[in-house]
Amino acid sequence: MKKENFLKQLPKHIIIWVILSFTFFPVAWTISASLRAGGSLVGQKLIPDVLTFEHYSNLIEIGFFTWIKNSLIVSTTTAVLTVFFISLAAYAFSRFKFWGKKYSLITLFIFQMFPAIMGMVAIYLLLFHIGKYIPFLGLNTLSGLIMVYLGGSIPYNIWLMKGFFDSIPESLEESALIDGATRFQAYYKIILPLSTPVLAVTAINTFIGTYSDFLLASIILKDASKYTFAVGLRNFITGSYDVRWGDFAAASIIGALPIVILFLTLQNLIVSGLTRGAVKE
Amino acid sequence: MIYPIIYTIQIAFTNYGTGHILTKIQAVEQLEKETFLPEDAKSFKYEIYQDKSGELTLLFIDEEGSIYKVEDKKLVKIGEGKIPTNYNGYKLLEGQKKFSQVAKIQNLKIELEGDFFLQLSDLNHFSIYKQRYTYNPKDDVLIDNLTGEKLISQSGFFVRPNGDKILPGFVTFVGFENFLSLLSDERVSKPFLRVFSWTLIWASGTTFINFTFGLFLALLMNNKNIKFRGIYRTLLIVPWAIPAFISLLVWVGLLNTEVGVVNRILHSIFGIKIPWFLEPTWTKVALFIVNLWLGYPYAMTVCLGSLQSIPEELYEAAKVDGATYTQQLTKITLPLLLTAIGPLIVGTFAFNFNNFNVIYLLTGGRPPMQDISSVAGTTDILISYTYKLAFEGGRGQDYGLAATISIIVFIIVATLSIINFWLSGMFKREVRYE
Repeated sequence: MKKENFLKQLPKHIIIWVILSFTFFPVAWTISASLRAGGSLVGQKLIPDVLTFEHYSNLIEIGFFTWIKNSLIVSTTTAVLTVFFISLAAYAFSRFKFWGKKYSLITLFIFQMFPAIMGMVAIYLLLFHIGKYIPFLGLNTLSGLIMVYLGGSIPYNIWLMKGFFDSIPESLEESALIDGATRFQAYYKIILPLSTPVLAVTAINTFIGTYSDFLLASIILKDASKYTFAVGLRNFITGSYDVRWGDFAAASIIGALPIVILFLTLQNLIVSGLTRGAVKE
Repeated sequence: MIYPIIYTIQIAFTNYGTGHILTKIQAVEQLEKETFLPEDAKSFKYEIYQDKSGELTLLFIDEEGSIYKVEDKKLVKIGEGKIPTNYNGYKLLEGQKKFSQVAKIQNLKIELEGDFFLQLSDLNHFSIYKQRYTYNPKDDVLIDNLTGEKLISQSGFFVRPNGDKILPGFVTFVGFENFLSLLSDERVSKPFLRVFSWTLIWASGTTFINFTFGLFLALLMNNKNIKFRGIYRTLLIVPWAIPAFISLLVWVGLLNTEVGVVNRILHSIFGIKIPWFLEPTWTKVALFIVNLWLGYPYAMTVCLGSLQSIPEELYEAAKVDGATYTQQLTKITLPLLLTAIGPLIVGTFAFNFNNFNVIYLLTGGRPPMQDISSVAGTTDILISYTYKLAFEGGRGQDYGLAATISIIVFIIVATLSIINFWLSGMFKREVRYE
């Protein structure tokens, strides 16, 4: 019975395998390039004749670790600060009644449609002018870039988190308040521990999004020593596919691996966050 | 957060860009520093004196041999005839020593009363220069003291009566000029309209392809009995997990026309080489394929999620009524699915409408347009066009126009989002299959 079932499903499996081969086509060739002697695209075979790790040891030379270091600084700081600011703001939006609350929420909703990418001209000029007075927030600084990312990540995440806070019953804090807890204690001791999942989703999404951003980083960062991974990798490979293919492949794999592992282990969490609304609650 | 938005809107109504960076006040200041040598200019020989701390001072000698110094913007006569070797503790520099200091004084402008300046006119002489331009704020005109012309300020420049513009220009509000030029100025409107229509084709095409493919896969996988379902699902979402910029750069290499892997495989099997990235049509095909690779996992996941939320009873009821598989698909699955994922499809459309990474990293807008000279290439979408206008314009940067296009993009995307919001709000009430 079981065997028959599998045979019946065989066509389905074949189709899936065909699609999987499309999916893994670039992945396989990149892995193969990274392990192959010689750096050129020319004459590459899927299974290299001579295996070597030279491309991986070249990574220090090409500045790969500087890029990764910058990317990690920017992404981690952005993720942590986003969660910190957003959770406070979302808590206020969720629990307090104040003048203009409804309108600020709607305004945030509209601003969320104006992604940072469209304000790139303004952001560039803004940092240019800020940099004249506060140098560490100007163009070509990592802190300036972090500031831009923070601004861009606010609106969407406030909505996401407010929705979650709304689902936590208010009676929990009320009893704490009656017992003499301050508002901040109630937030810190009751709400935050209960909302670990949404905090994690926000942090991871922000981290991955920042790590993968190319546009804003490329506008703001000018010195090779400040490049994030995206900008560095792009400038490294553009125009040099025929000579730097091997090193590039090695850099891509090492740079992508942490994100892929993070994403796949937490896929259910991330997917539910990103496709929120697909399946109606 | 708000600032970039307001600032973008503000810039959209200006001519901010190369040649128009300064404010009007800064431009006037710079212009007022310009000087000219009047025909009857008086010129002086000069001597350089230096004190012990190395500070320099100058004395000027006119044709009659009178010696002058400059004090309170006036030439003050201090003697006649022989040039003193010592003056107020300063020592005369002679011969070689004198000329070694010339570099220090060659840009010196000593201001005198009545818009006159003492400036080095040749190696041996200082002459009295006159200020070239004087700004009259009351009438908003710049007076050219050389020609006596009145220059009026017009669209970011001071313009002579004969129409010549002088540099530098300045930032000024041009009202709706940027918006109008998108419609009426052929040099701007032609590339803009072409980019705009490709943006629409691109966004709708790629969204359609991705969701069709995603739905097909989801239908394939939506069967609890299928073996390895969990593994397949994990493997199939790998493209989603890899940061897009990396995959894109890899694809650029794989699709390389001469040495790329794809073409080598095609060449060995079919004996053809496809000019990816060289010929507009194939470049577009490449874009659709690569974006399918990047985007189908999302479409699949979304479809799978909503397929699973369709209750089994509906199908059982349909079977009892004798419906075929196709009937079940078109009468139950698709309508319910589309209502549930409708907002996400619109969202994907909006995302691809602004999918800068794919376009910029994969093709950079290439190949260029054959018949129009513009920074825009045949595969540029509005957002990458904006980027090029603002940051890598071959003929100078045009922040004003870039900001204008940003606003148009914003209006389109915002409209879509509002429709989306409205749709999902409606569906919340309608789709209740529990």
